Amino acid sequence: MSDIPLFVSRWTTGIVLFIAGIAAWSFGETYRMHEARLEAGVVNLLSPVKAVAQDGTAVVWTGMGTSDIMGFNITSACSSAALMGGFCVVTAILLVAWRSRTKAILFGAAIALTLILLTNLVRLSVVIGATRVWGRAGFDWTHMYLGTIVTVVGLFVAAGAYLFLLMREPSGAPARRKAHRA
Amino acid sequence: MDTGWAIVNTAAALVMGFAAAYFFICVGSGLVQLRRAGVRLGAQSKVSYGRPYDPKHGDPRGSGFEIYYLIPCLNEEAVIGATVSSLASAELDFRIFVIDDASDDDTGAIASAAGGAQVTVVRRELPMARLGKGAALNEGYAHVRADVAARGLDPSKVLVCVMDADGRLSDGAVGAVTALFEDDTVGGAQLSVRIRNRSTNFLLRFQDYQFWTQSSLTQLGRMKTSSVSLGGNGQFARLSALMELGDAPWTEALTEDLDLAISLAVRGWNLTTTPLASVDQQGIESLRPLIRQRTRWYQGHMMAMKRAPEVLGSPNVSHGASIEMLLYLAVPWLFDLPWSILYHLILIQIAITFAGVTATADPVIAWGSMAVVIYVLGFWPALITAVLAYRRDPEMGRLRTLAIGHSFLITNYISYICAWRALFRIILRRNGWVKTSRVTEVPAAPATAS
Repeated sequence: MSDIPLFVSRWTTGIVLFIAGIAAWSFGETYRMHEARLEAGVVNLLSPVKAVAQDGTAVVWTGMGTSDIMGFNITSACSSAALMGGFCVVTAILLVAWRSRTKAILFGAAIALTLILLTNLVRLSVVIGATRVWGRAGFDWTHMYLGTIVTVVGLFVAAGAYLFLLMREPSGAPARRKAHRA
Repeated sequence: MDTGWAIVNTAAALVMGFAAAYFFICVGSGLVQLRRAGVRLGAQSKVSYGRPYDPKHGDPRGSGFEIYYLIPCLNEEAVIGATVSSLASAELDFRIFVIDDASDDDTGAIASAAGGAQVTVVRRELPMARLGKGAALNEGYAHVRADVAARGLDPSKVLVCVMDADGRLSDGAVGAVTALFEDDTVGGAQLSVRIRNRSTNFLLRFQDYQFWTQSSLTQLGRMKTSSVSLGGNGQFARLSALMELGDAPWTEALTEDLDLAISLAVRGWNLTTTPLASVDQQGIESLRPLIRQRTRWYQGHMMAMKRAPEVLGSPNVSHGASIEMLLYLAVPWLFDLPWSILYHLILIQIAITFAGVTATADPVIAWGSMAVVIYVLGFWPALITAVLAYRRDPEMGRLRTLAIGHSFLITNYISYICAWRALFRIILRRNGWVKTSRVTEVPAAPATAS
């Protein structure tokens, strides 16, 4: 590592991230199970509706303790696993290729991954909320239309934040360009 | 099947997410630069061309800078007279070197007649001619160095300007450019490009939109990272910076201008531009030669990717400039080529989704809603750039600007075709090119300093 005191090398971090990215694609089901747990937590936090994630599946059950129980299965197309994996792979490549920006790359990746995860949780919450209020029509509208827009906006913001953080000059760093050339 | 679509969706999302983020970060930064400079977006929209020494933008001598113009020519008799006469000045002793690359026509004679004593025609003869624009520029550069040495000039106070044979600098451009070089870390500057014959047809209007809105605004954004890309027309470089690159600063690359920008940047020179000056040139009036020109640009751009390690490894390039240049170099590889495939797969997926939606809901409402979502998702960049294009050039009118903005559905295919042709040429190691032809023009009146 060139600019942060980590005990693992830049290459090791890159390889770990690369494997994590591939794993997010290959073991999407496990990822979705954890995503379902998180989503249940978000629903419990934001609404009076009680939600639980079913063990061993990616299904979020809502309306627990009432007669109006609905289950939502987070499929591979609805999960943020693939995008998270993509960002991990991009980050791994950058880490290996660009030795002087380790801290910024990792920081940018952390922000971007968090934004992607949060965006998908927001999207899932909107779908769950709309379905509970408006039934099948609410599901169709938010799942197909509004949810897609939320995902695209979230991705754009995540990629923008990632690039912006990479392009920022480190605070207090000495000017790297030659000051007097003429 | 689902896994396949998930891979397509993820790849498409990453390509579009990063491409849109990069483009709008550059454009946003460009708008900030303009605001800081107190310049309106449409400031140059009504400027006229052909009087580069008009002092309204500053002293054309710019703190004692001398300017040498290099104009490489191959059969340019249709346009060279007007170009040279626009650069010649009775009051200023700037030198014009026309490098006649073994033309079959009267390019040399016309250039001499148009510029008088300020013009030196450097005639190259076959078989040592027609070896590419870089080779022609390097021969002119050797003459510049010899002349600078003979006159005892300080190379850091000498600017070398590369012009196309059909290029015209905007009124007062020289004063605006020399002001940039008063910062002694600036090694190069590139002017925004306008298409002179843009009102002739749609293809020309589209080229002007690309140059004047998309490219120009991103170039202004690159001022922030001092990584403005150099082009083949309206390209200024400090002689002392060029001298660091040896006897041949321009390489044999198909995009020798991009190569020069990288070479200067990795040596720590800042590259910039200005919203106060521009250069105009002829656009290409028909599709086939346009595709030929763009394929050449793509090939050069794609081959420049091999210089990415230099950029990332240079201790002289700032972090922002490194990532900006890396993204710029990667655009054909990571955006144009993959998107040309992903885009069509997404269309197929949308068609399948349409069928699924209409099977479960009212077809009119379902199709209408889907159409609105697809439009918003697909065209939001077009809507934003259309607004910017209108503000950049209000004369275009709102409707025409909106139409041009949406035309990318069709015009993107030019990029797709050119990127794939370029890739095949790289694989087949084909580097030969036919030069772009011009339309005949009448010489303008000689430029003046006041």
